[in-house]
Amino acid sequence: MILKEKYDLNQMLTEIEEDENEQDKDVSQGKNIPQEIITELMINNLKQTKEKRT
Amino acid sequence: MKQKKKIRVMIVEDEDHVRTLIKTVVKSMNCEIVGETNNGKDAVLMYHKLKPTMLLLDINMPIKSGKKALAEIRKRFPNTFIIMLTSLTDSETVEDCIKLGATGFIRKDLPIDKMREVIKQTWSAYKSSLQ
Repeated sequence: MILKEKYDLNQMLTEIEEDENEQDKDVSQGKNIPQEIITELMINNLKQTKEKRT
Repeated sequence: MKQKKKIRVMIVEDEDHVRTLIKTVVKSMNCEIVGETNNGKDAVLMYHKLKPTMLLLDINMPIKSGKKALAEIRKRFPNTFIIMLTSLTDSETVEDCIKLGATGFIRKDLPIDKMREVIKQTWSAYKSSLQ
């Protein structure tokens, strides 16, 4: 017996798009991180260093 | 009239054309290039001797990598301004450099204007972190 499931194509596409957006935000998965994101990371790191010191 | 003191910069990069490019960027920013070399081992020795205000350090280099040189310099000079230069911007490389104490990070494929902007932004954040 072959089971048939019905899929909502639009919903699937939305979920795929959401996953892609999440992955873009996740630096740990990045293979080629844009300069803007790296600069932001570095500046935040400097701020944290200052906060720890004060 | 008192002249603004130039920032003393050292450049470590094994590719000649990239070093020339970085020199052009730095010279256009009221900085003085006090030293340059093409490997991590010489970078550590030269840094101890020259003690520049700013170090631009490539990651992939012969003899000793930029990461190793960064760790060694950082150990003795905890407050130095060190910007890593690289073509590799994967998360592991970036995170490693942050852990080892890099102050900034520049992708070598950036246009000159953008490189200048990143150096300025990072320098400003660095100065502020010391206050």
